Amino acid sequence: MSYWPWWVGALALATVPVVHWLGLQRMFAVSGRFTALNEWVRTRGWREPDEEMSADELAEALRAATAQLPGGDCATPAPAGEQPMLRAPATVWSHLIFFAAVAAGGFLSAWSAGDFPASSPGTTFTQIFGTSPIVTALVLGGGGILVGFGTRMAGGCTSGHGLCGTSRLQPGSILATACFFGAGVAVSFLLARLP
Amino acid sequence: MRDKPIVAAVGLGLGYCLHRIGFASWDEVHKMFTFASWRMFLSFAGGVALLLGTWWLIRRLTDASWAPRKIHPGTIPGGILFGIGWALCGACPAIALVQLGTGRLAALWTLAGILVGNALYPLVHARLFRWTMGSCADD
Repeated sequence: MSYWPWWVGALALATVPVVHWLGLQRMFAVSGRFTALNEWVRTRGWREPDEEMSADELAEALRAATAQLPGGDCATPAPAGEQPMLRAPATVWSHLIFFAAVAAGGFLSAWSAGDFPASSPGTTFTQIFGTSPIVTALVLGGGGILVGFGTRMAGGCTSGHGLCGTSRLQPGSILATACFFGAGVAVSFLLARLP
Repeated sequence: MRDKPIVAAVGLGLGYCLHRIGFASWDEVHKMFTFASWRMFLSFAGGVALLLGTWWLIRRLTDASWAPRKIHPGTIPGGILFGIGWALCGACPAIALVQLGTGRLAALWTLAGILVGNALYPLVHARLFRWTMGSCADD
């Protein structure tokens, strides 16, 4: 498999968030979509998946939710000119479409490059962890749990923090990105000593 | 309704690009993290650099604004846990989907783990932590 040179990759990684912003007026993020999907499953029945809130409905829902908090009944809306721009949240269908499209994009690329289907996780993975399906499941599943837990704890992942947050010089994103890259480097060096 | 074709197009482009850059390969991610190859680090850093200029331009030309991403108590431990997980499974959330698309059925374990980990966090947070959880969907 022949991969893109670094500068083509850089252009591609920069283009995706910009197109997302220009088309949807929303910052590009992926782990937040997993969170939204999990929350919809957890609170299923809260809204039908194909309903979208208008800005007024969203504002009213926020006011109602705030009023239920301790001291929330003291909250009064700011004068019209000072209210922040409110956008209706993405729907569950939007998230599902996104996930399916990402997988489809991977398929298109792999198929057109003659790399489909890719079977094993990788030669180096096999050298380190062996070929046992149980070990593979534990490593991948356990790693996945840490990814899902950690991204929600940090409030973002490589897209939200790494690409979009650091490029906007957001302190939380810069720190989170340094932490996950640093941890990835440390663990990978440890893994490289295993075989 | 208007959003869905755009969401689909962005997702398709993301999946295609991530595979072509090499992020869907466990081996390539391992090479990146062990500095055996600088190609993907440079892709990422280059992408951030290009975005730096682009967001600056967008703010100059439009009235665009976005919520700040502050440091909170979950930033460091969450980032570290994510990094450990990424090194083990070779995937961040989007990449697990790309791997599935390339026919790596083992990525189902990764995806299941991501969903479980994401669902577990609020339960742990409610019991142990008191800070406000951020989300990359906040912007």
